[in-house]
Amino acid sequence: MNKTTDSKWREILILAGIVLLFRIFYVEILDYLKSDYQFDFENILKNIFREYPISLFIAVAGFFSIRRINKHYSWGENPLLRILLFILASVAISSIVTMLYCIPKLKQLSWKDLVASGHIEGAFVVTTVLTVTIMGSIDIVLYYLKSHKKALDAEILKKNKARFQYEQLKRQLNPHFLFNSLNVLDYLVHTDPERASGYIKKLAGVYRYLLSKESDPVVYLEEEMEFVNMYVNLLEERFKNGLEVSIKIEDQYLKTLVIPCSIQLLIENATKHNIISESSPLFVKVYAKDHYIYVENNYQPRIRSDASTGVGLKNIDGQISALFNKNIEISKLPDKFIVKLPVIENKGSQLFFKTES
Amino acid sequence: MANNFTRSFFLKTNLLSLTTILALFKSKETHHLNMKIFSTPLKSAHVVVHGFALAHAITAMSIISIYHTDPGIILSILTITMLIILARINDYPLDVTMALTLICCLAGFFLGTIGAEIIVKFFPVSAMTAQVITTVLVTEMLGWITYIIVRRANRKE
Repeated sequence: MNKTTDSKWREILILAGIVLLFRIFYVEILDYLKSDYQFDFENILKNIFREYPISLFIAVAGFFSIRRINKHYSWGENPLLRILLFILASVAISSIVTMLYCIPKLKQLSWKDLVASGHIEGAFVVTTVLTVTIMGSIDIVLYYLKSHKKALDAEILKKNKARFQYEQLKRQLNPHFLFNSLNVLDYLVHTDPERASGYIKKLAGVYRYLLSKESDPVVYLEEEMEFVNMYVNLLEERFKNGLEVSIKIEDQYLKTLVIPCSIQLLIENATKHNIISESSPLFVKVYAKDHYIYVENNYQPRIRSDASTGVGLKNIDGQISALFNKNIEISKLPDKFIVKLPVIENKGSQLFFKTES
Repeated sequence: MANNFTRSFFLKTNLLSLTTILALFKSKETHHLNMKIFSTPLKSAHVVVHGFALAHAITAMSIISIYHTDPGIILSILTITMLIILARINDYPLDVTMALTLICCLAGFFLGTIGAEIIVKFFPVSAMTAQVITTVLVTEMLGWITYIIVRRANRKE
């Protein structure tokens, strides 16, 4: 067996030992107190429950102790230390509650009499059992809620990823984009065969990128901008002077991470929903500022019968939110439409580049 | 002579059941057997819970009839072992396992004591039979409650 398994077995044995000791402690002590001091466990338990402030104190103190322990040591990391802190907290709370329970009895008995009659020991045993039960239950419930939330977050992430991949797949096979591209290609083949050859290479590059990145959740901004440049060149061949795209990204942002095809989608949206003509050219600016990628265009909406559903933007927002807990920002001004994508710093994100099987 | 035979039989059965359970988990030779028995968490839970309920019954019967003493501590050891095994099968964290085991141990002790008293009160059985029935019922109950808690909390991401 390896070292990890050995240490795991050791931890399990220590855990079992602690539980067994506790069990022996309260049963043997209870038997001793019952026989020597005619001690009544049920009576003390009833009295403690009747004292609502004491019961409330146990519950509240127990809850906050567990939360405090969780803040520093989450479940599963350093279990022996967590168990030790749990024991210390329960002993501390039991001691305080024992004092609170015994202090009113000082009116009738002195400290010496209380100790001699086994009152303090009895109260301590009962409150320890109660505290341990309450704190243990709180720990289990909080762990259950946390793992339930984790599972829910994982499901939402899976759903968002699946939806985004589906939308990406649809766009890959988008007949309009291919149809328009082939129309332009047909024109170029007859008028300028050299440009047609370059156009085919860029079209192939676009589809190669789409196919290679379909299962990656994030890509470097550098790669995404190379793809965007190819896509923009295709658009410029189609729209000529009707479209002008300017891209200004500083070098410091090139190794940050983005959702693949997110910037391309924003540019595609701009061309889909705005008038593009020589008389009313569309200006699209892509730049980085204050840890955001801005995609800005002048606002000149097309008069369309079908309104935009915003599905593409929602999907990108869902992906970014699920992966990085950030959101995109949309600003619709009278003359401008701006979408801000948050820049994600590359902090050991190697796992993102494993393709899912 | 019959008494000696009974004692010997109970002792051997008890030792055999405990050894088998430990061997199933530790032995390398039965590793493939482990995999077959424990192919799903539910199957594993059935084997563990029913196996330990049987072990509890045999232990209680043998200790009461041979040594005429309270089998409480030995039964607690068996209960703790069962709960830890159930938690480990489902990758439950050790610290939360301890909290669960503590509560179940306490609950088992009190339910066992009260349960035996109730059975003796309402049914015409001996004290030993009442203890054996109670220990089996309480073990099954604690085992399945633990299984439900650890399974529900432990969803794979």
